[in-house]
Amino acid sequence: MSQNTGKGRTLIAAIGDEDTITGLLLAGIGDIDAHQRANFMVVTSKTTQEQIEETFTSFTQRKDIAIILINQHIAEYIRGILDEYSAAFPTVLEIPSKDHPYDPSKDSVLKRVQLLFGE
Amino acid sequence: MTHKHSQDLDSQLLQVLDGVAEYQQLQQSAGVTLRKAWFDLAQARRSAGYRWISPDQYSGNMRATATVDPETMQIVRGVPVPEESEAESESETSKPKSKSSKYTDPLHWFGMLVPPSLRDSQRGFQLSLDKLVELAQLQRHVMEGQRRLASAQN
Repeated sequence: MSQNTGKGRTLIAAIGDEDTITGLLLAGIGDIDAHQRANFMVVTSKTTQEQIEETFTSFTQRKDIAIILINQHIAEYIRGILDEYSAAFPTVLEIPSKDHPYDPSKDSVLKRVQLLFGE
Repeated sequence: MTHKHSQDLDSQLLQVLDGVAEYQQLQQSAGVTLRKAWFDLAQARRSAGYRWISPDQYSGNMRATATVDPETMQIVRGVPVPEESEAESESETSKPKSKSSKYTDPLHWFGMLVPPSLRDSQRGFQLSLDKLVELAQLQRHVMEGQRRLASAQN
């Protein structure tokens, strides 16, 4: 089982639309390592749910990623595995996109808290 | 369950709920900063031409300059390599300017002269990233509190 602590984790990864990824890359998060592994994915109209799932899963399995940023509307495509995801590291943060403002009712984090008050 | 124990749980629950309120506020705040950054990015695309600010320009050798400190989970920024190093020109006054300078500032993937709106956009995304890293930190605390409470409930 991979270690699930913050130790050694420094990268901020991102799965998002082109506008979001270009912006986050401008902010300096982008990394392509010696094995050609990128810590970001641009999701377009041609990207499949499987591809998003695969990338998300591979990011969660890497030991050098601390945070995964994902546009909330893209998170919807993998809502199932996100709702199941409970590890502290990497932390998965849903963010708005240009065309889809943040919707608290969809946020996996808030859904978890609601569980405290019964299902 | 002792009175003290249930009081502890109540205060833990309040902490989680406070955390959730803060989380939602910070989400709103990040949303505002991001919207401005996206707006500036769209402006930059209009100035430079849509073809010139796209994933086609992303560098194949990029390395992250914005990361997090694994101990504190706070954002850490590396300084991009400038075109002409100030320090170098001090020590070797007659050193010729290098033409093949190394840029790690992603701004320059999009050209040597970029529209001001692209710089604005970059600043906006940097500000947004600060808030997002803070949000991630906050989320972890909330989730930790939630986990403790959930197991106390069972």
